[in-house]
Amino acid sequence: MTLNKINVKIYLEKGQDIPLNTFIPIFHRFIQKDLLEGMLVDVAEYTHVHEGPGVLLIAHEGNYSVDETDGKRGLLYNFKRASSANAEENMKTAFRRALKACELLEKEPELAGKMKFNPSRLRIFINDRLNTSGKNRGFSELEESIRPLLEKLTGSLIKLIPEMDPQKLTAFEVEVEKTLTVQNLIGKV
Amino acid sequence: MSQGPVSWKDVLKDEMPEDWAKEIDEYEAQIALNKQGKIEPRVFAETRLRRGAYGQRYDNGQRNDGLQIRKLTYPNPGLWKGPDTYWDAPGMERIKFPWGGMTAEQMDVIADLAEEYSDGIAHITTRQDIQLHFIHVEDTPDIMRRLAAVGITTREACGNSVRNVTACPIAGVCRTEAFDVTPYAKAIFRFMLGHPDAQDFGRKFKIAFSGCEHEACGLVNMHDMGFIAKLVPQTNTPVFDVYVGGGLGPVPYNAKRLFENLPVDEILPITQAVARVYGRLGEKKVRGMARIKFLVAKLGIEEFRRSITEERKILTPDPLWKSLIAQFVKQTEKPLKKATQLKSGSFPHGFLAWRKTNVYAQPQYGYVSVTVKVPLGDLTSRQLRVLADMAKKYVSETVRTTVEQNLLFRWVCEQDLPDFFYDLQTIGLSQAGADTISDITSCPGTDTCKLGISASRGLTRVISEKLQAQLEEMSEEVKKLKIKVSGCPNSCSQHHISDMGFYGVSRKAGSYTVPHFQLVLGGQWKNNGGSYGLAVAAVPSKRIPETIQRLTDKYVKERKPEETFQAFVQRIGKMEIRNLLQDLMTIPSHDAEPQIFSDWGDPREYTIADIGVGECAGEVVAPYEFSLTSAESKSFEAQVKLDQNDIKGALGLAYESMIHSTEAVLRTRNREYTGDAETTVAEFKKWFFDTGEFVKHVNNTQFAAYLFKAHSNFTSKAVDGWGADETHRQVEEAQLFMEAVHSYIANASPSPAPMPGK
Repeated sequence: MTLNKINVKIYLEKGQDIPLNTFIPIFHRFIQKDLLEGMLVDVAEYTHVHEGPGVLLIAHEGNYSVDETDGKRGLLYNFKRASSANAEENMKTAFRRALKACELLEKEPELAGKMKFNPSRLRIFINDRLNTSGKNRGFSELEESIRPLLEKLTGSLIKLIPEMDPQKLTAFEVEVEKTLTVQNLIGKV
Repeated sequence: MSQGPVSWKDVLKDEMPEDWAKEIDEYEAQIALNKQGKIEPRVFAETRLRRGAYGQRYDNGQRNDGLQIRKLTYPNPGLWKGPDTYWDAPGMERIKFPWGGMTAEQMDVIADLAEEYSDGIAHITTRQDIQLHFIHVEDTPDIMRRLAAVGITTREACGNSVRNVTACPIAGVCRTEAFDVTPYAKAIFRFMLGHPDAQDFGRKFKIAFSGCEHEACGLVNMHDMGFIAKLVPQTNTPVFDVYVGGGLGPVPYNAKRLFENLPVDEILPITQAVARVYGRLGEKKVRGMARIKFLVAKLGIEEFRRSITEERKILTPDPLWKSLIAQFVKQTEKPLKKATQLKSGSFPHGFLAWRKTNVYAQPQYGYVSVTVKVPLGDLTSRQLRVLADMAKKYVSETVRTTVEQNLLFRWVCEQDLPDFFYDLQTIGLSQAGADTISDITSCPGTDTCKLGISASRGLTRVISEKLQAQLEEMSEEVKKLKIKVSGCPNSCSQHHISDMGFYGVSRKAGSYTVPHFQLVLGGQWKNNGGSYGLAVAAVPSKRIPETIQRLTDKYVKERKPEETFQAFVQRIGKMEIRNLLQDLMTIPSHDAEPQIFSDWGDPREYTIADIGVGECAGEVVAPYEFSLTSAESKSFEAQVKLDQNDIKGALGLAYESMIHSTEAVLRTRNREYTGDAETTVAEFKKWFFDTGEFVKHVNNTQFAAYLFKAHSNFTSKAVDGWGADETHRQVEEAQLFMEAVHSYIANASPSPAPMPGK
């Protein structure tokens, strides 16, 4: 079974207090300049929703968002369409897209110095209950995809903390031992 | 991980009703055939619509990104899911919740679907449905299977069919109702779902149930068909007054009473008879004239009643007519816990304010119904899961959606209220102010709707936050007001029956287009949406908060004791209100206030038709603009005359407004055009209607139909016997025709020839 619809959320280190609506014109500019991978469609705003998807850049294969689920803000790349690639490639694609969005946001002139992501703290999950429900929720398969890739990329030991709530999607909170920046990783995946 | 290949079809095969599973399989087969090019896009579009799978904005493959029209290169450019609708474009799935009823298990499934297929949000609509946005059509069969497994069908959620059957959310726990209408709403839903007599309509058909005549309740007056519960004096026998032919949309119609005191056992055969007559006699070709309200108006209620009575006589008896009602009347809701009253003591911060506005004391001792105020009707998956847990913890899963885009928990034990409030706080849903001015309903507008003109959700977000912050200090009379915001004249937010309604329009200012909202005043929420408001003034979107402030300030300052807002508006007159807002209506220069030229929550320079901006800056006032100004002025004067009950004056002015609007269209090609009414209408027909030019740019044939109908009625003097209802509609149609001309002018590129009138 190919692991598909892998999602990566990179948590923020700095910038939790930036008003969410700041990201609306920024995402519109990303569309105008076609700065992100995938077919970019539109911007959706949920600033009125408590701990919700925040502001999304809607794209065909997957959405980018400044996401506030569980009260923790981060950049989420949310794969919606299944691909024919293998698990490692799917993981790489999601991670690469998330990192690129983080890099662009950190470089935005109006956010300069105010926003910093911490790629040592991630949430990785599979957006696919069909293949990850029941007795075997796919934690071992997901771990097999995540651990070697992240250890190779980061050059560091990583800690994977599974989220056991059966209602939630199969997910790991990821802690990379080494402190990393977006710049350390960009271009490596 | 599960070993494949598995599918939701396999996983859920024993959990779906057999007939529903079969229907979904057939739908999936049609998807496959469509992908092979074996079904016409037009046919497939109606197929998916009847399963609730709707189109969304930008599904035609282009979007103005603020700088240019950008082509959206969807992966399968040759594949369509409808005319001019790309296969891979994001769409919306509408999920029916008859009478708004929802179980905990269903809430959990909606949460899963929102997370896996949508953008993480489940949206409550103004007809007790839930919608998921930004989904792919190929995911819809599995979405439908997962819903079917928990007793939900999306069949006939859209398309020309019997839509969701709505009912008052407090039916059964209401202090003023005649009796609980829920079993009857359930019976009609089950009876009409997929009924052979309801498969050949020209348009959609909406049914509603009310338990009370004088409350807002089920809003029967604005429905295609509606039922108001009554008890026969002396005998206390439950009966229904049946209404037909109401509807909002661009031109609202008041429902007419079809039958009084109809025995409850007759509601299913009468509904069937109405469906058959509507299917047989209703308009099929001209979409804008196809709702049943037009048929009822055309035949007159007496003749319509006669047709239904005759049709009823020839129906083949169906055992379901009685058995469904008998079955559902037996199903009664039960509380989870024993009734207990709230004990006095110290309560969490905000609790008392919340209790005052969000808690309704049921007639059943010790129980209350709690409204969970849901901003813009949007819920996250996590919120839904916690709410599902609460539905099991506090009540017997007796939860309903409301047409005001909230959730209602019924049978909450009073003593549990502090804990209930605390649980809501953990998910950010403990906001007070349900059923107040800050509890604003909104349609999707330009966020996702293909028809959206202005950002209704963006405006709603801004004004509801502002009004919520002022709520505690606000005077009680202002607190009670209702605001509803639609992105276009179609009234999906039900703006016609609010104290202050708004609908999206646009105005041209030199080379720019400016987002506006038309202010609608005079509507009535109570009495089942008892009367409809009329447009007063178009104000730039960004100035709507100030518009509301001025109106509420004036109301507080000048109202008479006990005077409602509706009565206040009637007393002071629309002219005075327009004067109050006159400066706000004026469009400033782009340099002076650039923010006016974009919409709420959308930094792109505003456009309604992907036209570039700034091409001909410095242009002098075009002659068509003078014609449109005259049209605006006549339209407004018509409304004032209508308020004064001057029927003849209102009709004449409305017609004049239409002729000026038509003249504006002709002057877009011939700046010097002049002509009498006959010539103007004929020239318009020849050069703009028959050529398809006008329809192409306003995307609708009905607006031109309004003009032709008005011209015919005036020249034949058919209007001479008209009363208030017909005049109200004529004034509305003049206003809408003018709005269409604004759209035409904003959309159409200047065209050199032919030159009408030359």
